[in-house]
Amino acid sequence: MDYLLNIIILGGLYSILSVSLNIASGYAGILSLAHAAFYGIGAYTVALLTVKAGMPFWPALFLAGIFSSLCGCLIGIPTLRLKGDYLLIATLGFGEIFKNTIVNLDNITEGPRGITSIEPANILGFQLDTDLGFLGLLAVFFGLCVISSYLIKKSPFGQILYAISEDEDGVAALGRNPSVFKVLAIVVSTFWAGIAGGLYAVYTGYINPSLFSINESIMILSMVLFGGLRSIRGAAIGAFVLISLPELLRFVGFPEATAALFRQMLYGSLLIIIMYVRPQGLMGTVKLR
Amino acid sequence: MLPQLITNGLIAGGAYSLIAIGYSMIYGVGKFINFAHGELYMSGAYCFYLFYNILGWNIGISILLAIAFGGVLGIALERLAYRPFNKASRLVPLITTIGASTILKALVMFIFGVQTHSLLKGEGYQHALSFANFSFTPIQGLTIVISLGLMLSLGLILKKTRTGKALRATAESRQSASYIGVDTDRISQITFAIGGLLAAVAGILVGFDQNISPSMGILAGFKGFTAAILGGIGSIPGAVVGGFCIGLIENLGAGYISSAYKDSFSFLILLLILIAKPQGIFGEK
Repeated sequence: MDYLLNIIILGGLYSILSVSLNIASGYAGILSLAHAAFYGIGAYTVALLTVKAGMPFWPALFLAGIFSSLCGCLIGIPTLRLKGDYLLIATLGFGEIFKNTIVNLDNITEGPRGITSIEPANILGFQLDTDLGFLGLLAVFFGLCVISSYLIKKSPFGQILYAISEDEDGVAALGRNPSVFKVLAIVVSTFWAGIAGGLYAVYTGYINPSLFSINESIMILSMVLFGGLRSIRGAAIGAFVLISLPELLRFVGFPEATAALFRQMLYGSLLIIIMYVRPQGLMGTVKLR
Repeated sequence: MLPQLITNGLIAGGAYSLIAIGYSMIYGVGKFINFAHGELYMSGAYCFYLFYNILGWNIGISILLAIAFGGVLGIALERLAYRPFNKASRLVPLITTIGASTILKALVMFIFGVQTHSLLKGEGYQHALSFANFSFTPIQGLTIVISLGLMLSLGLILKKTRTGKALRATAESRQSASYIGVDTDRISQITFAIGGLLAAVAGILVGFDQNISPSMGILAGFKGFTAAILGGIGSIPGAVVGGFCIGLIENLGAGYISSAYKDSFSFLILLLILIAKPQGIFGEK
C-alpha cells in the first residue's frame, strides 16, 4: 500500500512538472530541457531556507516558486530570440550550469552529498509526516496548477501564446509584443516547477544535485510530448504512464537500479515511437514545428 | 603554467574538433542537431573496451573494429531516427535522436555498469614526455596528430572526390542536388557514417588518455556542439577552429579562473554565441 502511495505521489509531482512545462512548451512553443533545473532550484530553495535559515515551510515554498520564476526570466529573456533546436540546446546548457553550480557551491549546498533532514511540511502546527497527509497537500497544489493552466488556456493570454507558437512575426505585426507574453509563460511555467521542487524536498527530506539532471529534464519533456503538446490531460497522463510503467518491472523482481535504466530506455523509445506513430502525441492537436 | 594550459587545451581541442566536425556535417546535410552524437563517441570507447579489455583481442583489431562500429551506429541512427523524418520539422529528428541517446546510454550502463573503466592499464603509454615547461603523454600527442590528420584527409575527400562533391551539393540544397542526380539518401547515410567514425576515434583517443564512463558522451557532445556553433555550424574549418578554441578557453579558464567550473565555461560560451552571434565565426546567416 505504501508502495502504491509512493508511486501515486511521484506521479502527482511529475504531473505538476509536465503540466507546467506544457504551459511554456505546448502553449507558447518554448521547448525546454531545463525544467528539471527549475524543479531543483525550488527544491534547493526550500531545503536551504528551512534547514539552514530556519524559515517555516510555507514562506519557503512560496519563495521557491518566486525564485524559480526569477531564474526562469534570467535564462528566458536573453534566449527569447532563439527558436526550436537552438533554444532546446541553450536550455540544456542552463541545466548543466545549474547542476555544476550546486555541486561547486559546496559550503552552501553541501555539494554532491546533498542536503539531509529537511523537515516535513506542516499546516497550522500539524506535521504532514505521513504519505497520506502529503498526498493531500500535493493534491491541492496539483489542482491549483491544473486550474491555472486551464485558465491560461481559455484566456486571451493563452490564445496569444498559441498565436505566438504558430507565427511570432504575425503576432508582432498585430501590435502585440511576443516577448512579453513568452516571458510571462516562462514565469508561470517555472513557478510551478519551483513549487514541485519544494514539495519534493519536504516529501523525501533529502535532496542532491543528481536528482535534477538532464535525464530528468528529458523525461519531463517526454511526458509532455507523449501526452501531446497543449493538452493538460495528456501531460498528466504522460507523467503517470512514464512513472508507473517501469515500476511493473520491480513487481517481476528486477532490482531497483535495473528498473531505473529501464525507465530511461522506455522514455527514450517512447520519444521515437511517438514520432513514428502519432507525432502530435496521445491527446495533442498540434505537431512540432 | 601557460604553456602547459595551452598544451592541455590543444589536446582536448583535438577531440572536440572531431566531434564538432560530425555535428557540423550532419547539420549541413540533414539540417538538424544530432543529439545522439555524444553517444556515438561514448559507444566507440565502450566498443574498444569490449573488444580489447573484456574479450582480449589484439589492440589494432580492437581499434579498427570500434571505429567501424561507430560508423555502423551512425548509419543505424540515420535509418531509424533521421530518414523517416527528414521531411518533417527539424525538431522531430532532434527529438528522436534525444530518444536514441537516452536508450544508448541506458544500454551501456546496463551492459557495462555505471562505474568508470580504464582502457590501457599500466601499459607504459602514460609516461609523460617533458619539455622545458610543459609535458604530455604519447597518447595525448597522438590525439593532436591523428585529429589533425583526419581533418585534413576529410577536407581533401570533400574537395576532390565525387562523393565529397555530392555531399557538399546536398548540404547546399538537398532538392537541387537530387535534381542533378545525387542520391541524397545515400549521401546522408555517408555523412552519418563519417560523423560516427570520427566520433568513435575521438572517444577511443580520449578513453586511452582518461577513464571512460557512460556519461562521458553528453558532456563531450555538448562541447563538440558548442565548438560547431562557435565556428559556424555547417562549416568544417569552422568546426576545427571552434574545437580548438573551446579546448583552449576551457583549460585557460580552469587554470586562471576556477577549475571547479571548467565544464560551465563551454556552456556560458554557447549561451553567449547563441545570443550574440548565432551564425558563429565562419557561418552564414
